[in-house]
Amino acid sequence: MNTSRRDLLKAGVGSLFIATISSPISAFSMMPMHSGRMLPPSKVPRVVIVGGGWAGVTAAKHLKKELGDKVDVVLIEKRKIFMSCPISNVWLGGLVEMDFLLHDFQTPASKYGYHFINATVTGINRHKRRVMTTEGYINYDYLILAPGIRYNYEAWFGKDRDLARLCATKFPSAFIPGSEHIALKRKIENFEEGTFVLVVPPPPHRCPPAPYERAAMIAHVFKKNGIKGKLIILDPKKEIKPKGKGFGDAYKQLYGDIVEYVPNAKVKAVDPVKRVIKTTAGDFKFDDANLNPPHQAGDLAWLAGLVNKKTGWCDVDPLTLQSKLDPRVFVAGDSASVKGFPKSGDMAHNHTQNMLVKALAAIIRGKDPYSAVSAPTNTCYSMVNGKPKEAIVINVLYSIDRKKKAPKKKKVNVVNKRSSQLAESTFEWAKALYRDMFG
Amino acid sequence: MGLSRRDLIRVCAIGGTLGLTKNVGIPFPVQGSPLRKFPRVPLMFANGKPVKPQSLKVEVPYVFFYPYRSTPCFLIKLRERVGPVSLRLESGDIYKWQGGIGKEKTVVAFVAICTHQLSYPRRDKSFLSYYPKEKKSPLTGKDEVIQCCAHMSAFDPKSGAKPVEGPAKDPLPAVILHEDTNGIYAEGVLGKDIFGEFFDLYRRELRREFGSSKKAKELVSQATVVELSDFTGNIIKC
Repeated sequence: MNTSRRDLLKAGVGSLFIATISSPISAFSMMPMHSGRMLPPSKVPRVVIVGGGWAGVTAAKHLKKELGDKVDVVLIEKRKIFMSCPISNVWLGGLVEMDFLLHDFQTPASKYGYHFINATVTGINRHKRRVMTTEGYINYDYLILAPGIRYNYEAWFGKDRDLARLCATKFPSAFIPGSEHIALKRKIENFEEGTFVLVVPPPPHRCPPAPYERAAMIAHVFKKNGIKGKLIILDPKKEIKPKGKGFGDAYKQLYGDIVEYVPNAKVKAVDPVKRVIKTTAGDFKFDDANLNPPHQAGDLAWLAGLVNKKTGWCDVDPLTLQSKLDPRVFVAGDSASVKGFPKSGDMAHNHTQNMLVKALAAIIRGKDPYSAVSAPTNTCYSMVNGKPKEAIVINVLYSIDRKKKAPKKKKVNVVNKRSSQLAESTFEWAKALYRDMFG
Repeated sequence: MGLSRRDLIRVCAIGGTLGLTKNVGIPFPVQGSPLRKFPRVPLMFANGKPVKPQSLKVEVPYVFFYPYRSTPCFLIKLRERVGPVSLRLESGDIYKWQGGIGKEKTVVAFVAICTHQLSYPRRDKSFLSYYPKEKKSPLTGKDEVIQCCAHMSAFDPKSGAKPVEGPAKDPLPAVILHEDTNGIYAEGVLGKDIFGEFFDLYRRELRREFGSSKKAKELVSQATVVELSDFTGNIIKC
């Protein structure tokens, strides 16, 4: 039976009407959701991955690569299409087309032999080891949570969710890929004069250099469009980190008339209606803005009850990424809190492939997970100029302290001198990782 | 052409019985050494002259395609003698690489496809290159390495292209070289088998360049050697 969206909406309205005159249970039963079991039971251990971002897609492929037929892998993702957050700033700057960022979920699932289920997760019952979705439920032997981040608008607006929604609509953050990025790009391209504010979220946040790269790309567009306006960067930190010199030089040398960097600007209050931000460095009125609230572990991590409420992130074993609250659950990507690991796409790919997958594969094989993991690296390019394209880079090497069972930084390589060659490397970096994840 | 693991072990055994090791100290199989024998082909310069160790510039990377017409390799004459080295793959397999060839044992060749995410030298640009002594990478600070500027893996050609920094876990596969009075020949590849993944992941690019996947997988009968800087006008350094 094919049900159109209009039919679903009609059914929804009807059920709501019935609900008001009968009971909420009948309304729930009328919802267009499936409640049956998805996929037949597996004869081999089943790993369910929720979240098809950089970490989730990496986990799915590399678990199959590692274990082949000895594991059944199911990737659940609510989006219809993969859009990469890494390189999205470069797209905002108009230096790549959108299709550079877009990928499909079906090809890698088919190629590498895992199941892909396009559904929204509605519940996680860790006691029953079960994930409930809009397409039905599925039981797991191991669960990999890869839900990315959520915006913590509560830090700005408390319980006023309407104001949070208003802020998110008028001044989208665009740190979670999708519609927000397109909205932000239109803002940047349509900006004609006045003050544009970019709020850097407090650490830890997704991709530490990303707000600074974004500022450079916005400034590039303003410069290209001959805009007589200011881009004010409000940073809660006392200085730009990482690649501070590279960003600082670019702002000064390329966008001296446009960019104004304000350190020690911790947000005290945001008024998206009057367009005012109060910070510890003063109050700032703006004409338009990219307002980035603090980040936290993604919604599904909260749904699973695995978030440390003091930090907003999931506590995990720093070598295996196994949840400290549930040994059947592993946390991949940005939601995991590991000292010294930035929440970047490269890091998500690296720690998932070299640590989480190796550890989980060892557990499934009945072997020691700690001796299976290897040290990750993290490479973050940042495009700072659009004409010509020029980038800077940081590359962090880690080692593994087997006694302390923790990773530690071994070496930090930085090139703050922007170059066209590093810009070329930026694209090669991304293409190679897309190739790895999507085949 | 796909070789199964069983084929590989068989090849190693055949190599042993045929005396594959007699001229150049070719690697002896250890724990199922990943040696793949391919047709022996001469290395020639573009002017038709055979490549000989004395005709190579020191620490200048050269490119040739072997064993397939689409799989690039680096040929480098290093500064000093390079002896045999034992190398370990991430899989746990161990193999022994012959070291340099030529009278001075300084000439080495490796497949120029990064074992991390398979970047390789192309006509329009190369993210892989060699950093001669005292011409250090500004990023890693290393010299005398082959470095990939996509994800910053560095390989030491003096040690069989073992990874010495960055995310790569496996050495660059070595090209087995043989030298006689007529010049240098390539006759096999030793190390991680990355060709299958390479052909798969670069299908679109290879089809564009060679017309079809099948054509990209044709084995070469002769390998033309050119300097990397002549092969591409855009060597990306980092």
